[in-house]
Amino acid sequence: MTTESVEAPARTRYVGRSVPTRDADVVVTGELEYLTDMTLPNMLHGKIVRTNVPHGRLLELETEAARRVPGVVAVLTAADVPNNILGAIVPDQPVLVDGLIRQFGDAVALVAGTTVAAAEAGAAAIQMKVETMPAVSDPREALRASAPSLHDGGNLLLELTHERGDVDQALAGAAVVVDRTFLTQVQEHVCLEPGGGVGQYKNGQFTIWAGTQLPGNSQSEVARALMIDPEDVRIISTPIGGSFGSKAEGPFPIFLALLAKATDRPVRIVLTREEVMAVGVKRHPFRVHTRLGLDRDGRIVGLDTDAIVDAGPYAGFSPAVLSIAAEASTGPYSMPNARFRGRAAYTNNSNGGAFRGYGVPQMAFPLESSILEAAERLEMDAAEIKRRNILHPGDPHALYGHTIGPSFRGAETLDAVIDHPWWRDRAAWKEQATGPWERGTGIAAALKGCGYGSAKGDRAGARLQISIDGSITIWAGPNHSGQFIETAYAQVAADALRRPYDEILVVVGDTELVPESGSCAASRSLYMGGGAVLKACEELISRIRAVGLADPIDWNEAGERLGAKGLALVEVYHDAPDVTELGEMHPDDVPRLHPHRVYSSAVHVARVEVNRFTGQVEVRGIACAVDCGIAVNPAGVVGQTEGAILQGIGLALMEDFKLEAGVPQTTSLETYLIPTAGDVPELETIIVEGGEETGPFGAKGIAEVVLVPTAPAITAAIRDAVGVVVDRLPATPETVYRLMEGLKS
Amino acid sequence: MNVNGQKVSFHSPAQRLLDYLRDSLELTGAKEGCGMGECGACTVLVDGEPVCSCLVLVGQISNADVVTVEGLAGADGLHPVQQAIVDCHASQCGFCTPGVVVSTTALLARRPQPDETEVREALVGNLCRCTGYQAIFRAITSLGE
Repeated sequence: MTTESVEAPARTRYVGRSVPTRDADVVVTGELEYLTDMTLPNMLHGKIVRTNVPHGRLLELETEAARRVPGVVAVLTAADVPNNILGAIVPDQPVLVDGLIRQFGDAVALVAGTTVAAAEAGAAAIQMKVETMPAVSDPREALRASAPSLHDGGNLLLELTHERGDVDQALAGAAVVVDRTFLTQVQEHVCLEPGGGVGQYKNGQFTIWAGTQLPGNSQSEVARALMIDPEDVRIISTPIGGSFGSKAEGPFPIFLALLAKATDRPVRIVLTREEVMAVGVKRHPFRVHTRLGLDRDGRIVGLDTDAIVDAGPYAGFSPAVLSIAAEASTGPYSMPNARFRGRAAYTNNSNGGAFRGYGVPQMAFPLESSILEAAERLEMDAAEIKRRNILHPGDPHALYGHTIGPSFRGAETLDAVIDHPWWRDRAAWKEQATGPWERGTGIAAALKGCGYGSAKGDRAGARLQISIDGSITIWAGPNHSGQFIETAYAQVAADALRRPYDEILVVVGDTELVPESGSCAASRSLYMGGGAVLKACEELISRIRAVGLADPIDWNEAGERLGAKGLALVEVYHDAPDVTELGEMHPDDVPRLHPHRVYSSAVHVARVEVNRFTGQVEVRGIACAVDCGIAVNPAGVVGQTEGAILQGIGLALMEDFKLEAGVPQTTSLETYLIPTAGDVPELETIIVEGGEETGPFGAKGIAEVVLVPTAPAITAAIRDAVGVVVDRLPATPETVYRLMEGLKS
Repeated sequence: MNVNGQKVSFHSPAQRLLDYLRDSLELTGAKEGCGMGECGACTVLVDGEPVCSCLVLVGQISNADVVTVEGLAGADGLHPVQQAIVDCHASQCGFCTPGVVVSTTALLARRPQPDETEVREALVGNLCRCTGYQAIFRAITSLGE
């Protein structure tokens, strides 16, 4: 690992060190109890009954036979849901289907039994009478007036348009215009833990142990569906076996609450891999038509982007994904004219949801591919074109016009990769190709905002207590799903309080204990949650000063004095800073477009070998430079980067969740392939540091942006190797082979 | 059958080894990621060989010596493979980690100084979605240093 320190913080003992992740010692022994490992006395087992058609009408549901199955304790249907609605942004989903079936695998009933086998037998005994309807499976068809409407108001979930400058005029005067349509596929998260949890109802209080990245939202959705007070619902959301966006939404916590209430016993549901494959949210497939114009000097003069997003059956987070995609449509580049039109359409396909990158990878692939093609037509170097157009702090954002903040280090990040030997020596490496394996190198760049964006009310809370003996406990953060977050919070707190790291206890992911902290998403867990932790520590220090203690602080004394005065518990909220420099942006557009004040960036160089007879692509190396502000835990940054790159390789080359007329075809890990230990190329992470004034000790969030350049860097390398334009993902051997055959004819 | 050195008995020969370990013996270190032998999260040692415990019925191995991830650490601390994974940040969500630990232990018992190809081959059946595998490779390499 290389570290380029631009302005490392002066006074840190723990921030900037690769402290091991806190629960690692119990993870490696198998002792850590995940939520799906939990058992409670007298616990029942639940099973979800699902439809096997993607579109239709549920006419009858026969549950009597199921109720008579030995061991079955409860069977619940839509009639048992007090308020049968769900949906974080648009409440357009039933908890349990009572009429229209919109997705293969929609839940229609819940069964609780004394054993898993009893619950399964009960579920199998439920009879459904369904009138099947033709699936709406093409989002373009869905938007036609003749298509059957999946929701009141039609199939257009959201249209988002914006233009800065005059794109048509700019493209008319451009030296080159690249005009092409790009397709991206459905990607499944494949968290190693399929998911599940336990629900309990006791003394009028619900406790739901369920992996969720938005515990506060799960709490309010449970309360809404059961028509109860949110304060009667406690969500414990950690520890879980991976998330990546998949555990951000859905009815699962409500299922647990309904069954626990109906049976008055704890109920556990463990989802199967097949269930998660069929109905779990997925990365949205995009169809993107791009027109990119450059002048003779390689400066981008205009970009026109038209995206159609397959949202699937329910809104979920699709509106937010579309708005994040719009903001990222111009990438990390400056240009005087840009236009975006995006439409999210309801279909009977997989349910589009959050997935690391949140619409940005789907925009980077078309843009980076178009820049490469323009470079070739101008006979210029692609990296040089990027350098000429890269955004600098103080520039207007290309689509919205607000001012890019001072901590955006896109240029330094790009230079770190341009100077990398894999990019510098690409010609020599290419010449050394042997046998059927052609060699190529590609480069791609990306930016992504940290946090929800302006005017979104992005806020994170933290609670801190100093005990009478001076020990410190901090409750903060929505969830831990593998990203070192308690570790990083403890590092921030240790430095803020100037105390040994081991003396700080951190608890995350419990709505009863942690003040509302928003989601473990949007590259905000450290940036926002860490900001709240820092603020709580600063408040504690000021209280300690106020009771008359000076440095060096006697922590026992501090605990006693603050305890005696009732000042031992600190609770603070940290609000994300909105854009302050609007630049050319109209103030009325801020609430509609949610521009970010803080961006991170990442640039990749990829080297690949392509078999000219089979189209097989082997990635040999990827180096990623990442603009992370300050790396609170450098090993954490490297870990996020390396993991993201492998997910990006999957997106680029192999992962493809297939549906036929709304019916999933890739139903298990036998047919849905993700990268294994055999697919890992040489990886390198280059940390480009330099503080962000609004982040804790200068940190920004990076776990998403590092995935964004992987696919376009790989497809650029494929083009360098064998000359084909990859216009759809994944670039499987069949796709690359056909493209090579197309070159010959 | 012996599990982690203790003699145990079972009543349902058709029970999956994974369920027997998790439900009957409360050894939840082995995880179920797929139930079809694709992910390796349920890997345990059966007579020293790494196997997916979701694919084995207890009746098939009634005389076997089974070691799970819980049986690897000694009285004086973590097994060296476990310690290396902690030290090299080779675990993120950790759900695959018990299986990775078990597969690596089996590899090192067979090949104390494995080369990179052998490491990859030994772990190709253990899916990890978080780390990108390189940190795991670094952990194993560190054991030979």
